[in-house]
Amino acid sequence: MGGSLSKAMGKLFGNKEMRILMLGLDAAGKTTILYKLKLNQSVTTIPTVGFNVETVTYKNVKFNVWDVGGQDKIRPLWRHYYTGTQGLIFVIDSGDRNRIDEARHELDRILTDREMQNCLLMVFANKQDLPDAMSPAEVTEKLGLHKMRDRSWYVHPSCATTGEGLFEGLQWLSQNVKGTKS
Amino acid sequence: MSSPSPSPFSSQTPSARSNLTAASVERDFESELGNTPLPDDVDLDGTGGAEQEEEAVHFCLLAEFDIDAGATLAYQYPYPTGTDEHRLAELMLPDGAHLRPEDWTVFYLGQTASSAVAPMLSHESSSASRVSAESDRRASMMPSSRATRGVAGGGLLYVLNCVRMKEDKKMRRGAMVKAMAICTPNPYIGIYKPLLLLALEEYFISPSPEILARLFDSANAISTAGMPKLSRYERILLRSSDRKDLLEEKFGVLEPASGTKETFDETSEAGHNSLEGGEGRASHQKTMSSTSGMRMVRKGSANSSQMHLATPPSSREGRLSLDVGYGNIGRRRGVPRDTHFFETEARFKKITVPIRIPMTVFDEDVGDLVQTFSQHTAPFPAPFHPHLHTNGSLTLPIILILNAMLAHKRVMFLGHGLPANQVARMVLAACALGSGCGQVLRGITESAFPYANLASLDVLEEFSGFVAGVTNPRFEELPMTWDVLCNLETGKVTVSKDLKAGGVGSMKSGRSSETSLSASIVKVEEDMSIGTPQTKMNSIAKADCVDNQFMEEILSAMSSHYGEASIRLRFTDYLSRFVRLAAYQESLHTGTTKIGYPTASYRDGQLGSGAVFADETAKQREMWANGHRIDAWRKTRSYKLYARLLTHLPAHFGGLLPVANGLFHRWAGVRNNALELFTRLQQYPVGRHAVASMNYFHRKTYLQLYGRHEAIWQQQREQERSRTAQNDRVPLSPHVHGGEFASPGTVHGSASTTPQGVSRA
Repeated sequence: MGGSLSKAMGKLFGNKEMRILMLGLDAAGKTTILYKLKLNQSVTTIPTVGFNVETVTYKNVKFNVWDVGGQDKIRPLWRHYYTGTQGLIFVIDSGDRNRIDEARHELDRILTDREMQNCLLMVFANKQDLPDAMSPAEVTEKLGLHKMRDRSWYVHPSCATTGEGLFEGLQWLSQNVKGTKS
Repeated sequence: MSSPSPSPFSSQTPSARSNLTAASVERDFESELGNTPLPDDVDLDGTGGAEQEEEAVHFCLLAEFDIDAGATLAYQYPYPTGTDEHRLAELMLPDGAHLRPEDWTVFYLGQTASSAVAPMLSHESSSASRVSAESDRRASMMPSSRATRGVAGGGLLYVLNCVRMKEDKKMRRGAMVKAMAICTPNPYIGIYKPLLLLALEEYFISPSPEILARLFDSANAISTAGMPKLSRYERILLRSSDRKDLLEEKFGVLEPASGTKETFDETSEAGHNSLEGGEGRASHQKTMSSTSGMRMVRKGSANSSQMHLATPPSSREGRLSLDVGYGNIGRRRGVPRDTHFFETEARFKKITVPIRIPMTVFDEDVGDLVQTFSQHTAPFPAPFHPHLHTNGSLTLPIILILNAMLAHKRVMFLGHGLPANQVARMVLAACALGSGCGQVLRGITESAFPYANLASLDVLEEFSGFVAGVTNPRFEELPMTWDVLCNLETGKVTVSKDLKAGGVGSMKSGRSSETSLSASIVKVEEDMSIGTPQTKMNSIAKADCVDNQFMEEILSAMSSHYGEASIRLRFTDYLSRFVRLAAYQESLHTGTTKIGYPTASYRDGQLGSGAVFADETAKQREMWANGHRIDAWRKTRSYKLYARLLTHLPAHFGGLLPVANGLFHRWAGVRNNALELFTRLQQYPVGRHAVASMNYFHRKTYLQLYGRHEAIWQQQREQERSRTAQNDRVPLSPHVHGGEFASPGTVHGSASTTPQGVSRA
């Protein structure tokens, strides 16, 4: 009841809600991004057992961000979070050239799921502060995004500890989300 | 949120260690095992029967959150369970384990084939042949052969798991999350908490699989010598009584002259445990923290001291005269301060930990659950499901939860941000509630998942009904995975929109299924000229519905600080009443009932039986409130179990008060019968307690009557002797004489007074 009222209010005042799923290989910086967005603080994180979920409001858009642990053995659980997702934030450790192929493989797997057909793809080329970090262009190329049709995607450089680039990512998501179907 | 780690950890990283497979540790410690005596198993099924020797703990598990691989089952001891390793690891490392220094999860093995111990690997006990010889008889009541424990359909293995997170800046990614679990056929898993804490702490210091072996051995070495095997009725009596000396005579063996020990305060090791677990309020938690905060006993100095840890000796009520007939060698051990627990001890390395084994099951605080789900008072929105919304929009949340459990629906408790142990406690409390506190209905534990997460979804999907606890709010967005969602933070109970109001609906089933009674319910009500058509019933809500009145009573009892025991008893009565009503409805519409006495009213000098209603209006109201619930319950496994149980057990034992009132009856015959009954009761220790706990006037009257009658009987006997005529009156048992009665002089309810009868046990 209250929910529908606030949705109606939301329509009146133009604020919307977005359900965001943040995935990526372990130690890519997902939790750091989440809490930087939420608290505007750089927190020391430890590996996420299960998930973290926070609501971040940015420019009248309420982002419901789910950050799910990324280790190999727990990736099969990602699929349980797909339904209802409007935007996928895929986080890449730009310093980890060794695992960029693994990341691409996982990303492909996520996007082929039927539940994820219509969702936006936002890639953070994270850890840009590292000396040998891959550029957004390099990340785009290595993930094979150019071959991707029928989906809006966007790669943005970021540095979770300083917060650089993060809100630009949210901005893009809110501008490209279709309707307020949440 | 961090507790500084007491000692530097080994530099070996978890990832490096995880390369060792579980298989490599399988049987390394067999030699140690050889010296461990197997303790007697506790026959919790209450079926008596031959004693079987079995390990109290079947498996010890270790899981860790590998920072590279994720949730990993690192070791299993003594050999792999055969259960899916990743699922075990996920259950041991609950969602949010990285957020708190300590948490506990509870889960079971053997609920389905996919969550079961592999049959060929299940524990083969030394008495395997005996087990199978006996299993036929036992299986009819409850499958408990240990060879099949943890195998689907072979009885559950209960798993208690402790998970801890320790931050360590020296580690890559700054923290370690590890969990250790014990799998046991004993439902009182709580007793292993101190051992698990010690072992896990040890494992953090030096991560070696040997610690699991040591834990396994110490847990299996816990002596249960002298622990009584209580029957189901004895346990129910014990459960419903606050007396600390009830069934005392069942306890105790001779204490072998015990070694020398010394007490010291375990500040370094126990200190952190007691603090970190502090989020809970329920008694379960209290027991837990008092256990971990307890003083440990260490080997090395004078005097055995296992008896006086939790409570000061002064609270022991003066009952020391029990060694009669047991010789004088050593002192009698195991007569506990409170017979609700059996006291023993466990040793882990050099530390001795006192252990209190509960003699009754289902110790969860029902009160907490009721409190949590009474705060949200908004009426339920439509649509209504007849089996769940038994009072339309005014159905109370607790009643709805109860209805859902009786109807075997999928009930999920969600505690986002709460520790897994709190969620688990709620689930166990709900199980207690739904089973009439373990006294009325059975079979709920088999489909209970005190802690579950997304990794358990495929197992949950195998069940048409369950009670599960989760901490992940994602479940809220997956309404296809539950029928009723109970939010622990808000107290809100939501019925899934996917649950079709008419789907299982009584309207259809009334025609399609021959067992359904719902079609006839309507008829009943029409007969009573109330005429509530089924469809209208869904939308009708009565504020004065019996359920609502019942809950009002419960809540007022709680607000006036009635004890947990009283709340439980009320729910037990409520469920017993429900079953009786079900029997009534069943016999009314099918002519017979498998679950109770046929209802017959008191007339023409015949005693009535079955359900009794104060008057027609009360009957209508009660049947109105219960009709759909009964209908739903009759289709569940719990109903079948109940029907089966009744063939094995006599009727419920009630309070003495109604009988005692017979002592005041104006007919001498009634008085005499009451007197005789009481005299017989006095022959049993439990009966003596019951008689002794009657009020003063009853006891006084009893003694007066007894005195008077003894005189009369005496006279009669003399007359008989003189006439050498045979009197057909049942003679009183010769050893019962006045001195053994609880005399009115000891009355006045002071609990510390030892009733005279007791010392004679």
